[in-house]
Amino acid sequence: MKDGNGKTAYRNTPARRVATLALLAALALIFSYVESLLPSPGLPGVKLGIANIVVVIVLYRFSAAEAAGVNALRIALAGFLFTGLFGALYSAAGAALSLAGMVLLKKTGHFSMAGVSMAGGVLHNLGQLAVAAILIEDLQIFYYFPILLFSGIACGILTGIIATLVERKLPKNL
Amino acid sequence: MILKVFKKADLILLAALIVCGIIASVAVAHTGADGGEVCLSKSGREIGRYSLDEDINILVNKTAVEMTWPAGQEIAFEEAPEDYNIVTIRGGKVSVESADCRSQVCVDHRPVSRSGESIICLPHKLVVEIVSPDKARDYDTLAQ
Repeated sequence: MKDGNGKTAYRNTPARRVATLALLAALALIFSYVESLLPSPGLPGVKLGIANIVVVIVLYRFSAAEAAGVNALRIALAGFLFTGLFGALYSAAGAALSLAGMVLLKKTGHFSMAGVSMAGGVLHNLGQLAVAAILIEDLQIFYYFPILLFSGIACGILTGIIATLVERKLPKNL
Repeated sequence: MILKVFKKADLILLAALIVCGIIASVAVAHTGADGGEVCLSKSGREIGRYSLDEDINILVNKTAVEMTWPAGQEIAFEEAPEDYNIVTIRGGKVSVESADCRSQVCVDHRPVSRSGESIICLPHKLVVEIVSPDKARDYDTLAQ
C-alpha cells in the first residue's frame, strides 16, 4: 500500500501494535542484560535502570497497560535468564510502584517525561527497599533509604533525558 | 536544552525529593555515636549480642551462631557449614570477613562502628547491627 508521498503506509493494526511492543520488550530485556553485565557500584540496589527508557517511551507512545505488560514480560524473562527468583521479586515490586507513580504523574499533565522518569526511579528503589525489609523482617534496612533516594533521582533523570531525546527522534507512527 | 526537557513541576518535585533525602540522611547520620553492642539477627530473630570492645570472630551458620574464637587467630574448619558468614569485631569495628553468599555485598561492605549502622546479607537474611546498649530503654521511654 502506498500513500500520497509514494512511501509505504502502515495501517495501525493490532498485529502491528503487538509486534512493535514485542520488539520493545525484547529491547528492554537486552537493556536489563547489558546492565547486569556492568560492574556494581558497590552499593546494593544502586543501578542505572536503562530498561526504564523503554518503559517510559511505551508509557507515552502506547498506554499504561501496555507499559506494564512490556515491563512484566521483561522482569519475568530476566528472572528466568539471569536475575533469579529474588531478583525478579525485587524488580517486580519496584516496577509496580514505579509504574503506578509514573502513570499518576503523567495524568496530572504538569510533569515532563524526565520528571516522570525521575519519580519512577525513586519509587522503584523504594519498592525494592520495602520488599527487602519484608523479606529480611527488619526495618533496619531503611538505613539505605537516603542513598537509594539520591541514586533514584540521578538515574531517573538520566534515563528520563535519554527517553525524551529518543522519543523525539522516533517516527510518529511507531 | 535542559530547560526544554524539564517543566516547572519537575523542578519542584526534584527540590522536594532532595529535601526528603537530606532530612533522611541527617536522620540516619544522627542515629548514633561510636560504641555500643553488635546485635546479630537471622530472619529478624536475634541470635547473638557481642560487645564492640571484644576482638572476636563469629561464625554464623544457616540458623544460629555456630562458634566464636578470638579475632586474628586462624582456625581450620573440617568443613565450612552451608550458608555461612564470618563476622569479625576488631578494634571497635565490625565487618563480615567471609561468606558463601552469591552477592558478596556483606563481605565488600566497609566496616561499621557507629550505632545504627548495619551490614546486611540479603541472601542469608543476616543483619549485623550496632545498637546502643540503652536502645531498649529508649524505646520504652518512647512508648510511654
